[in-house]
Order: sequence, then C-alpha cells, then structure tokens
Amino acid sequence: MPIVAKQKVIVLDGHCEIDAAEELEQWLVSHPKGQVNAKKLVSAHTAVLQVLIYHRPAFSVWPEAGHWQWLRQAMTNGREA
Amino acid sequence: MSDLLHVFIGESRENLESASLLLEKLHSDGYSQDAIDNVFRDLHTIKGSSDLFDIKPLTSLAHAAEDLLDSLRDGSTPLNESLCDLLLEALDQISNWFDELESGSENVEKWQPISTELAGRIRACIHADTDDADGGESEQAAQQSEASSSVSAAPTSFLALGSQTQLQCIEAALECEQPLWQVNYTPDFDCFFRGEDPLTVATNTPELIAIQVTPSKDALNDVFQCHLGIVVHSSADDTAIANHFAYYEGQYQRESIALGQLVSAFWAASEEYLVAAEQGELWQAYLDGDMQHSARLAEMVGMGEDVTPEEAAMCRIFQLICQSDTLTALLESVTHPADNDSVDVSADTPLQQNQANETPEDTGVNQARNEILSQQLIILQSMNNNADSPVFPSVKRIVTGLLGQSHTQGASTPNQLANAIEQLLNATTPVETEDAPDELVTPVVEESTAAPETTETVSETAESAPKQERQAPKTLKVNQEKIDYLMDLIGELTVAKNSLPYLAKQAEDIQEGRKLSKQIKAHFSIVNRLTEELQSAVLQIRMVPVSHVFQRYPRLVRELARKLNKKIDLVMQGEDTEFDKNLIESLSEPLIHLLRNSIDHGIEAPSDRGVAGKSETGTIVLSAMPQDDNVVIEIRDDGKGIDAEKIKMLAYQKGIIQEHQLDTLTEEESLQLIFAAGFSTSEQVSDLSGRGVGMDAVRTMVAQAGGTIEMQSKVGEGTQFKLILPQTMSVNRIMMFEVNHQMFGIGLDSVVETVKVSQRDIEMIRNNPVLMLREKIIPLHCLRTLLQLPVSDNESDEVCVLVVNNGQGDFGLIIDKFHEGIDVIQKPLEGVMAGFNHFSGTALLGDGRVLLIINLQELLSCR
Repeated sequence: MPIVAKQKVIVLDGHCEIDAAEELEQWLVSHPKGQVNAKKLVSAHTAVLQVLIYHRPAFSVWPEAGHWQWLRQAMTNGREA
Repeated sequence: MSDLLHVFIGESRENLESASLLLEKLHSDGYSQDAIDNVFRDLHTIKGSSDLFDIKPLTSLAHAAEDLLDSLRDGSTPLNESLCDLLLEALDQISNWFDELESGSENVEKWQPISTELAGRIRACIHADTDDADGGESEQAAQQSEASSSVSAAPTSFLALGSQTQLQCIEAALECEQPLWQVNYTPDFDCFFRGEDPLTVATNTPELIAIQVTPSKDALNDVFQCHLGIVVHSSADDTAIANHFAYYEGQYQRESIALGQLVSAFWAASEEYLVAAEQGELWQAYLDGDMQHSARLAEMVGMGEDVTPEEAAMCRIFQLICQSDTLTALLESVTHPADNDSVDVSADTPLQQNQANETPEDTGVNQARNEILSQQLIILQSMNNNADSPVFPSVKRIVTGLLGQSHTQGASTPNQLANAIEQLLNATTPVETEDAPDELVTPVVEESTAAPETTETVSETAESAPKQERQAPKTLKVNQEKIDYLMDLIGELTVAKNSLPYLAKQAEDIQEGRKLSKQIKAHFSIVNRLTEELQSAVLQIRMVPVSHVFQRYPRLVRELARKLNKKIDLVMQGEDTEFDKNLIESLSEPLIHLLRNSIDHGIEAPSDRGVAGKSETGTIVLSAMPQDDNVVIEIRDDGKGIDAEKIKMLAYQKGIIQEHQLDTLTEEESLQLIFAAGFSTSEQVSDLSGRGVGMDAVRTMVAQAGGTIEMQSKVGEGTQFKLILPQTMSVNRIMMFEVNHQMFGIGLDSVVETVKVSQRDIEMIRNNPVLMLREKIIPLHCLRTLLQLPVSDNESDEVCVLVVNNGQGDFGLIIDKFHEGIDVIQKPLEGVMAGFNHFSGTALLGDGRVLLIINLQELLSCR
C-alpha cells in the first residue's frame, strides 16, 4: 500500500501513483499539522508531489533513496530547488 | 501538399533568398548591424512558421541559425567568414528540404541526423572562444566576445538560484565547455489526463543540474489538474534536450545560458558577502590582481566554522573564478563593465550626455551599458520590490557607477531604481533599444519582426508613416500556374485570331462576299492588336530580372575558387535585364556549368598567372543584355584560353573528327568541337567539371530553351561564351512554307531572305548544289530530300529558295511555295513524335491544320 494514513503521520511508501493524490490531499486538509513520513518513498506521480508542494506539510522523515533536494526547496520557499 | 504548406514554402523561399543575399553581402563587405538584423528576422520567420508543420528537424536547424544570429547581433560572437559559410550551408539545407517537401519526397526521419549535426556545428560557434576568430585579432575578439557574453542578461529564474545550485551550474558549464540549457516547462493543466507525469519527465532530464518547481496558483482546487511551473537546468546538448522533451512540444521553451551569464548572476547575488568577507581582505587581494592569494583566501573563508552552506558555495565559486582566466575575465567585465571600453564610469557621466556627440565606438559602449542596465532591471524586477534583498545594494552600486549619483539618489526601493533605469532605456535611441534583450522591449522587437523593412526609430516611424504607405510596393503574389493558364488561353486566342484571315478568304469566294471579307479583315486587325497587347502584358508578368539566377553565383564562384586555391573575382553586369521566368530557370544549370568550366579550366592558379604577367586574381565577367527580342548572356574569363590545335588533336584521338579534317578545320570550327558529345579537354576528371558531357549538355539545354551558344577563345587571353536566348519562349513568329502540299514552319529569326531562282542558276561544286547570290556562295539543300518526301513532279523552271542562317553561315532550303508569317504558340512534340528531332514542335493553324516547325540545326546536321 503506497499510502497509509495514521493519526498524525501519513506514510508514503514505494511508488505513489496518481490516485494517491486525492487521499493525500484530503488527509492534509483534515490534518493541517500532520506530518509526512516518506522514508521508503521511491517515486511519486506529479499529482502527489503537487499536493505536497501546495500544502507544504512537515516531513518527519525524508526519503532514503533518490534526489529530493528540489522538492525540499520547492516546499520550503516555493521557488527554488 | 496542403495550401498552408504551399504558402509557407513560397514565403520561406523568399526569406531564404533575402537571407542568402545579405549573408553574401556580410561576407564581402564585413559586419553590418542592419544586415544581421534582417537575416535574423528572415530566419526567425522561417523558424516560427515551420513550427506549424511536422518538420521538427527543419525548425530546430532554423532555431540554431537564429540563435547564432542573435549572438552575432548582440556582439557576443564575432562575425567571420566561416560563420557566414556555416549559415549559408544551413540555408542551403533548408532550401533542399523545401524542395523535398514540394515534391512530396520528404523523409523527415532522415532529416534528423543532418539537422542535429549542422545545428550542433552552429551552436558550437555561439560564444565560441578564439578558435574561430581570424589570425591576430583572435585574442581581442575573444575577449570582446567573452566580455559581451558576460553582460547579457541571465534568465530571471536563474538569478533566483541559490549559490549551491549556481556552483553546480558553473562547474557543469566549465566542465562541458558549452552553454547550459534552461528549460521552462509549464505543463498543461489537463496533462494528467493524457498520462503525463511532468515532474518525472523533469527529474529524468539528461545531464540534469537543477530543478525549480513553483506553484502557479495560490491554492490547489483540483488535485488532478496540474498547476506547476518547472524550470530545469541541464548541461546536455540541444538535441538530447529536444529529444527528451519531444512529446511535450508547446509546453516548454528552452534557452541557453552562457558562462558569462552564470558569472553575472553569481556576482549579483554574492557581491555583498564577498566584498565584506575576511574584513575585505579577500576582495582587496582580488583587486590587487593576486589571483592565487585570492583563491587560497576564498578556500579558507569557505571552510570557516560559522559559514553557511550557501556562503561556502559562494566562496567555492569565487575560488574557481580566481583559478580560471576565463572566469576572471568574465567577472572583470561584470565588476568593471565599462573598463573594457576604456570609458571612465567613475565620473558622473549620465547616459544621455554621452549620446550628444556619439561616435561608432560610443554606440558600442552604450549598447554594452544598456545591456548591463537591462540585466540589472531584470534582477530588480525579480526582487518583488524588497529593499532588504541582499542583492539590492550591489545592483544599486552598479547602476550608480553607470549612470551617476544623480540618477539613483532618490531610488531607495528596487521598483524606484527599476523605474529610473526604464526611463533611461526608453530615452536612448531606439536602434539601441532594439538591441536590448527581448524582455525589455518585446513590443518593439515584435513589430520589427512583423515588418522586416521597418528599421526606423519610433519617432521617425510616426513621421514617415504616410511616406511608407506611398512607397509600399504594390505587389500581387500569384501562383505561376495561373499565369501559365492565362498564357495557354492567349495561345488559344491567337489560334482563333489566325482563323479570321481564312474566313475572309472563304468569304471572298462566295457571291457578294467581298464586302464581308473586308469587314472580317478590318475586324481581324482589331482582334490582332488586342491579342498582341494581351500577349505582351501577360508575358510581362512572367518576366523576372536575371539577378534571380545570377545571385546564386558569387557564392558558387567563391567556394570553388577556395577549393581550387585560386583567386577569382566575379563581376556581374546587367542583372536587371528581364527574362521569361521559365527560361531563366532552364538557364541556371548551363550557366553553372560554364562558370565551373571557367573556374576549373579557364582561370589559372595564382602562381601561373604571375608567371604569365597577369594579376594573381582572375576575373570572370557574367553579363546579360537585351538585344532585339533576345537576351545575350556572356561569360568571359581572362584565363589561359583554349588552344584550338589541342582541341583538334583531342577530337581526333576521341574519334570525333576524321584525319582529313585535321587540315581542313579552321580555328573557329576547331573550337566548336568542345560542344561535341563525349568531348573533354581535362586530362584529369575533377569533381567540378571535365566529365566530358559538359559542353554538349550545355548546348542541348540552351537549344531546348530556343537559344544558341557561341564561343570564342584566345590562348593566354581568355575565353568567352555567348548565349543568345529569346526573351520569351511563349510566342514564336514563324514563316510558313509548303513542301509536297504540306505546310511547314520555320522560326522567322533564322530566315535571311526568300528568293525565286531559275534551275539554271543552281551550280554544282564537288557534287553539291550551290547558289551564287550576290557574289556569295549559298549551299543548297532540298527539303524534300532531307525530309525523305517523294520527288517533285513540278516541271517549272522556277525554284523557291529559303535562305536561312543557322549561326554557322547561310544555307538555302529548296521548297515548293512560300507562305506568310504567323504568330504561333509552339507546342513540343509528344509521344512517338517526340523522337523526331528534326521538328522542334507543332502549332495549330487557324483552319485547324497542324503546322510542323522545322528544327534547322538538327535538319542540317542530318545532311
């Protein structure tokens, strides 16, 4: 399951396809202070990442693999990566 | 072919033609801003329009050429001969592709590698270092090039990059030694529904350096709509980028960023920190020119404990700059922009003051200054009017340095400073404004692109608007097929007109018909006049100046001369002479052949010319002049000439002439042997000429166009070819005559006179009939015999002789009866008749009969 919502954290795992975007969006709207655990995230569809960029949730864990610096930058200042 | 494509090709060919001419001019006359601007606009138009069709390789090649022209235009790449040649090569390639598109034989897949290779070579020249520049000027040119490239504006999004990313970019640009690419990718909002995943595409960009992602809305209403702006920086080459984003055409734009722009952006963001670093010691070491010390200091500062990663990156970049001469020169041009032009910018010298008595050098200085100002303007605009921005003080310092305190004193926010710069830029002359980066003056540039002829200043444009209206050429573009159709109709009308005299004749035969006949004849003269006028009016439409063909030759001559290490001047005269378009096109090939012959065989190598007492540079004169109803085209060279004796011997060796002819052939006749089939004087077959089919083919092509070719040559002095061609091939004046109760025609041009002589006046010389006419011997030929018609049963003593000239002398044709002259539209023989070379064509007579027109040359050679 690529997306698992917990009480305060939503876990992104493996490959998150486009349909995960809607669930992520709903969860972030209902949990404005909720965090994202993306430890085992390998890849995500633009729609999923777009939700993250617009909502700018805090990350409890950044993905272990891959280059996500650009996402971190896009979420911190919305401009640069 | 679709109508749209047809229009596109037609218009683009004009653009290509005008661009080629201007490039030739640039090649011969040197740099001209106007010419470069115009070539740029031509290429821009082709590129823009080609995007409508599925011909991406053509678009990308045009784009590469446009980019090169843009960098020539802003002075960041110096113009030289090889660049002109490269651009001309690109134009030729595009023209070839147009040919394929027109004939429907295009294979766009095969175009791709050609486009990639050529575009790669073109792009390699953009901001190229000293390699391409010529000789001693190379160093200076390169410095200028680098200096200029450094001051051109970096894209706004690039300026916002943090130092760490800038460091990556500068390192990548240094490593790959070519400009980086910035791709501005704005996915369509509904792209998810097409299965697109833009960020995956962006992160998989080849040679990726950095990605910036920006939300394009305040809030996301629909998660399945894409509202992101993506900017990608990559060090991959243009083709790799184009291929990677091939499926996202229309959603992205790419632009190259030169090293100078990277340094400029870096400095704008880092100046304040670096100038203050280590209590100013670092900056002082740099100012003192001690680069090694500066580099060491920068390294040391960057390793400090309290240094942020951003600051460490700044130090690392500065260290790189101190270690690289190229980067130092670039930074120098940013920190002391006007020093390169030896202008004292420390003094309070506002921009307008300098324009009062402006020299060409000043114009260059002002252009550079405008560009720096434009760049600062972009930086200011990206600050969102935040006066606390760390970049603002350094921008203000640069602007103050350029414009003086008086202009920047009151500007305490980025917007105020930006306004001050804008006002100044708008106040400068529009010629300079036009050269400023697009972001600033887009409306002006767009306007100029739409109307290529408009180069006036804004104020002048307003004043001269009525003048322009008057001067606008009233040209109507019409498909040539329509004109040809009109021409055919006139042909029909001519035939119909010709039937009137027959009607008049028939009317005479009937009772009371004489009056009717007279009326018909009167009517005929009116219709005749109208038809002739109509004919000449339509013919006039098809007339184009020979320059259409001539303009291709300077380049051909230059290229061939260079290939053969010869020095040749091509002098063209009478380019305004008008000619039927169809004829002109058929002329192109024979003329190329003759020119090649002159270059290859005629003009000697410079050393040989020196020995012969001639100037090292050979001259080929290509001239066109009207002569009666004909146009005479002459190709004259001052080369080594043709040795008639040598020609004769070669012709004998090749079996073209018999042994006995070696003694009988005159020098003139020997020279004409070069037109014989299978004759070549070149001992070595070269790739230019000398395949032994050349002159024969030339003669055939000229003859097909209804013309003749003459040649004269003197050993050591040069050779002259003269092509005599009818100005128009549409309407022929024919003389009619009768043989064996059948009507024939012959071109009235070749008829010398008509005589009726007695059988007794015909004498025999060496068993050949001749006629002594006013003490001149005219060889006679019986047309019945030549055409293998039955022998005449006419016992009359009187013989009709049609004296004709075939270019080599007068001959008499014995015929049965003379008839009148007539205007006809000659039609070529078709089908089985096409093989009968002794007839040049047919025409329809007024009474419906078909007139066979004799091909005199062919007929006499059959004797």
